[in-house]
Amino acid sequence: MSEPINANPKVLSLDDLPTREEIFGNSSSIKATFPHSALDGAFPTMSLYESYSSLLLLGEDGLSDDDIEMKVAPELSSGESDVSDDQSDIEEHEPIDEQEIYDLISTISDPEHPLTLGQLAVVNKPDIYIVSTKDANGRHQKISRVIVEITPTITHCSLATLIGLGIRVRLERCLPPRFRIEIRVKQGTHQSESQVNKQLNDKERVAAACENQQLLGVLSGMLATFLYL
Amino acid sequence: MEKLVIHKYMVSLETSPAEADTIAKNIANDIESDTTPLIDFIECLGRYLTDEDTGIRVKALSCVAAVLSNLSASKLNSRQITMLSEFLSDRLEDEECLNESGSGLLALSKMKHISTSAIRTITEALFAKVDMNKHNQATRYVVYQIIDRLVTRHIAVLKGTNDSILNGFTRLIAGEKDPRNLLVVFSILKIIIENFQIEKSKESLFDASFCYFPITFRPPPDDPYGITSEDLKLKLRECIAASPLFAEYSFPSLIEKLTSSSINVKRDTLLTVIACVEKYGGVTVEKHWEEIYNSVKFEVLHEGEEDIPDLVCKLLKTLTATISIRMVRKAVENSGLDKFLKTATNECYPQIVNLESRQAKPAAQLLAAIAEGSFAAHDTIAETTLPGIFRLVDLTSAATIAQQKTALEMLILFVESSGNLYGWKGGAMSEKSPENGLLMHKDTLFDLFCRAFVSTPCEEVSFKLLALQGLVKLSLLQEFLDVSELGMVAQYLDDVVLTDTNESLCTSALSSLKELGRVNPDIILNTVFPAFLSQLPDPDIPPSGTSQTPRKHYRIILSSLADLCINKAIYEILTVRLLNKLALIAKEGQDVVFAQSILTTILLVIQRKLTEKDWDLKSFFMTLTPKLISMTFTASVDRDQPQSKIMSHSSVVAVTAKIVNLLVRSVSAEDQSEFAKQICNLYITNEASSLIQESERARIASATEPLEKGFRAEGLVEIFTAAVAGLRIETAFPYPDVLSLASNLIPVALAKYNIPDRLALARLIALLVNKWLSKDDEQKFIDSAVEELKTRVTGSNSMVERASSLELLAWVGKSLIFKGNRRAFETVDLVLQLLRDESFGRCASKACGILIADDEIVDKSNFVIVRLLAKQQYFSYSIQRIVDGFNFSTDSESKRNHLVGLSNILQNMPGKIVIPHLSTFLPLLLQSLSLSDSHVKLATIDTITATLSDAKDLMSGHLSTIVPRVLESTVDKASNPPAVRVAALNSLAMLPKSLPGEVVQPYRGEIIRTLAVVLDDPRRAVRKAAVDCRQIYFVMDG
Repeated sequence: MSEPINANPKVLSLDDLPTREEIFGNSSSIKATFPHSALDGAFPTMSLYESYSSLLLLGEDGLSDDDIEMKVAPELSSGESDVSDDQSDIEEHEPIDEQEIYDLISTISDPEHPLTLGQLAVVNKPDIYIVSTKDANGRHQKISRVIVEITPTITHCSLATLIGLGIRVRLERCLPPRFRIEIRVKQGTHQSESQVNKQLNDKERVAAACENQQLLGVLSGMLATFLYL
Repeated sequence: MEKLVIHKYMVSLETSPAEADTIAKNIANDIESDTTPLIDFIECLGRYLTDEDTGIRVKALSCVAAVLSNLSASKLNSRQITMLSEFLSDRLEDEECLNESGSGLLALSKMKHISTSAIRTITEALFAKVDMNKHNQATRYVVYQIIDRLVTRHIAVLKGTNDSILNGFTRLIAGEKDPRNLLVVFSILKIIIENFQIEKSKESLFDASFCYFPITFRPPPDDPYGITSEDLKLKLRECIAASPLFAEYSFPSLIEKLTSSSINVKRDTLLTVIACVEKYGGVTVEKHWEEIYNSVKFEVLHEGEEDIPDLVCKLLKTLTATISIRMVRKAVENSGLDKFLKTATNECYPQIVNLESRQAKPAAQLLAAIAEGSFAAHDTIAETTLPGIFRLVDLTSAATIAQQKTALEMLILFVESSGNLYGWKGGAMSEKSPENGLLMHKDTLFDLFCRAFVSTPCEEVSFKLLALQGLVKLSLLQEFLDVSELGMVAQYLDDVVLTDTNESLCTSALSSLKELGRVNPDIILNTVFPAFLSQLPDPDIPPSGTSQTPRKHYRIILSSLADLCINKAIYEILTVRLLNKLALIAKEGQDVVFAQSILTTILLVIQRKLTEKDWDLKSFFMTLTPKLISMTFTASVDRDQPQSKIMSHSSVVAVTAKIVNLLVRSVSAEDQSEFAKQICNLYITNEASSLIQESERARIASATEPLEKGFRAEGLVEIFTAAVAGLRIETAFPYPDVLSLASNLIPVALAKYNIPDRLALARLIALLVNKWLSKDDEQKFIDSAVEELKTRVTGSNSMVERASSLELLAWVGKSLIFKGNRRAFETVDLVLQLLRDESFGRCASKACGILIADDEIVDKSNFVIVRLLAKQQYFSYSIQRIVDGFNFSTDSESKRNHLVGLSNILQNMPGKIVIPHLSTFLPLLLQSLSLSDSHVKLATIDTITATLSDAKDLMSGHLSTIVPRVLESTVDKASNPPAVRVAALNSLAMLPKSLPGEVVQPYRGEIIRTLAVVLDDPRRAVRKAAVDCRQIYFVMDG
């Protein structure tokens, strides 16, 4: 790439980017300070036996249900006790929300700066919308829409299409198929708004772009950041 | 001396250089011992030296050189050296022999008694007769070495021949390109430039050096001399910076090189300019400041690449320091410094105070760098520039938050340069600095940062962070803020830690407090501790729900307090205050978790300090151990009274035991012995123990009975076990008959039903057997106690008795396996057989793990004997038996127990033990993937993940089994908890990284397709893992 189109963009500090609120008392610094199993035992929810279960064969009241086959102690075998928080797992549902979409796309690298789209404020959390309709029973319907509005760093940014394409590819790879994805340029932030919008949401054109090997190379460079591993 | 020897030398020079060398050494020895006079040696060589045949001449001269270089430095007298130098100098004309005659001269130049005339003869002959262009680099190297030697040792003699040296040498080196030779050339040049009268030939000398700039040499991969381009750059830099007379040439030439597009050249050039400025001195540099400044400022103002702006700042700082010499506090009117400061300020100031300017911060950076150069520059710039920045942050100004942020950043730059110049607190100050010029703005600065911090809304995290950073920097300035102002800063930081909800703000405030505490520990004691401790729940004051901002959880406060223990004194005081608090809540008897957290805080600091090894913990051992034990026992005997059960609550005792363990094992055997006696008094003999507070001793002794008889006080054995674990083996166990103690404890353990006591007794017996039983006693113990346990396991009718006996047996077995006793495998045999037992197999499968699992108490760190190959022995002994047992099993329960047993063993084995046996048990591993037990599944998936890259071929062969089953585990939410699903995804993600692409490729499409379903998993952590896993498959080659 020759001269950058916008050589001197405004950059947000990482501290100012929106993050998922940590559950109180569960933040990483506390975990680092109290890493200890001794403290885990302190939680009233956890029975003493569980922290010792790999060290001893017998529980407080004799043998645990898991250790004797059912026919020996039928009254104790209330069920398979597996990984400790098994029961709560099934109930706890964490829906895909705006923050999760933001986390997916804010980490994409800008094609011309060593910065992320979040830092450059190209994607902003308030500009992400998830639209899901509810059916008569009040349940979410299967099909949902995700709308992302991007804010190019300057109004004549010719890379807006490429950035939009990067976001689309990321979301298509990372969201379940029930989401319909729509990428738009935020109103009034680009000279040829409608043209870019049309390009970004035209299936044929997106598919054609993804056939282009050179373009795909640039894209995978932008998407090379990982969230978790 | 015979000519024969010379002949031999000349012949062997061609056939065997080593032999020639020996011959030369022998000749040298003969001369050394005066057996052969030097003159004889030369005469023997006689006509060969002037023979018509070049080959013969070369060999003869080589013989002279070899003999001379083997002589000791003081052997030859001045006359002999002169004679030889004249002869060899004469031979320099003989171009074919230059290397040899040169080597002879080199040997002579190292002689102690070399005369003035010899030195001159040699140098003049070298300059007059040698044409370097005709010789190879090795020969040239010899010549340079002669000159280097003479120049470094005999500079006074050579100074007399000033001009001939200067001209001769510059002519000699013209065209030299070899890096090894250049290193010598540069160091000769530097000596010449620094010591000779170079006024007349300065231009040619400068050209001779500067023609090599910039160095672009890149060492070849097989460079025998290991010369780097950095070596050359440094040497050349020293030459260019060697004399201020070069200034008129060097600065313009260097500035010209700054326009280079190569960042390496720019960097080298700037470093060279810095070296020149440092070496040339104020008088010279004063004439050049303007051209230097004008040519480098853009790199800062327009934010040049990489480290270039930093280097320019360093240059400007050095420049300022150099031209400030003799101007202590103020720039003299019209001096170079005065003009320089005015020019720079006039240029930068308008940028700094212009709200719209993008160059404001770079301009401030430039001025701050200059300010760091000298007190005079600093004070002048502080006076002229800071008020303008203050106005930007003024509340009435029109600046936006972002602009004010820039202003704060600029102020911090100036505070930093002030600190670097006048000194930081706790930094090493060589001399006393004058009063900091920033002091005239102190109140404004302090006010401004305080206001910026207090009046900013919480969401402006980075703004608040900057304000805090500014306050901390001000607090760390030497002789700047007074005690009350420091207290204020500490209070702000306290407030953040105690009330703010933003994590990065809290973390940075806490580390700032630590920094303040390091230079000023009183701050922590007087301001921080009271503030933090008052936030802890107080049983006397019921929590008032409405009054103020919600309190943070006490764990945050406690963990912050633990972080602040930066020295031993502070920790001692914290421990005292926390123990007071503990005594208080122990009396109230409400909050067990809080009591446990307080003790955990104390434990935590001990753990950290133990790993850092920076404190001696003996004093804590002497005071804290008895205090905690006493508190626990007192609480225990009053157990019936509800308010005192906190200290003897099992979860509190667990932490107390850990503290006792760490403290005991941190002191020497000598310090342990008295403690060992007292703890045995308390637990085993049931006598009055000095570990208990005096007023309670009798009461406690009467409320308990000896441990062998059941002890009575429930839940407290853990402390005894922890203490015994901490004892060193050298510390004699105070109770002489360990064998009968260990045996007698077995029925006690079998009779206990509460978990902590049972575990503690099992560990205690394991420790006693491992650490203090002699070989004989060990056999006796196995013959009686272990055999009896085995009988109970197999023979008893009570399921519970069988299980508790097996449990104890496993712990004793573990202790024996660790110790390397072969008879331990009798126990292993029993356990493995029991895996087939219909009703008892599940217990046995757990025991498989206990037998070898790492344990925090029965561990090397507690001086337990652990043989190097213990784990390996256990593994290779049991693995084949488990595999066979599985294959012979007919019912599913037995198969399951073998799989679970295997999984329990694998969880405790390091990869390098497991991998050689992988092919033996891989089929079992694959079967356990279809078990419903999620513990086993998790362990299996983790084992597969961990062994992937070490067993590529084997795993590649089984991918068709592994991939579908692991993939299935990511999708099936009903039987796989999130932890298993995440582990399965991580395992899949490892495949392309660990195995060859063509092996994984066939599964790519299926994995990408299936994972699309997982993208809709209800749990966020699973979705994240799926996203990253899928991404790996999208980008994998192929």
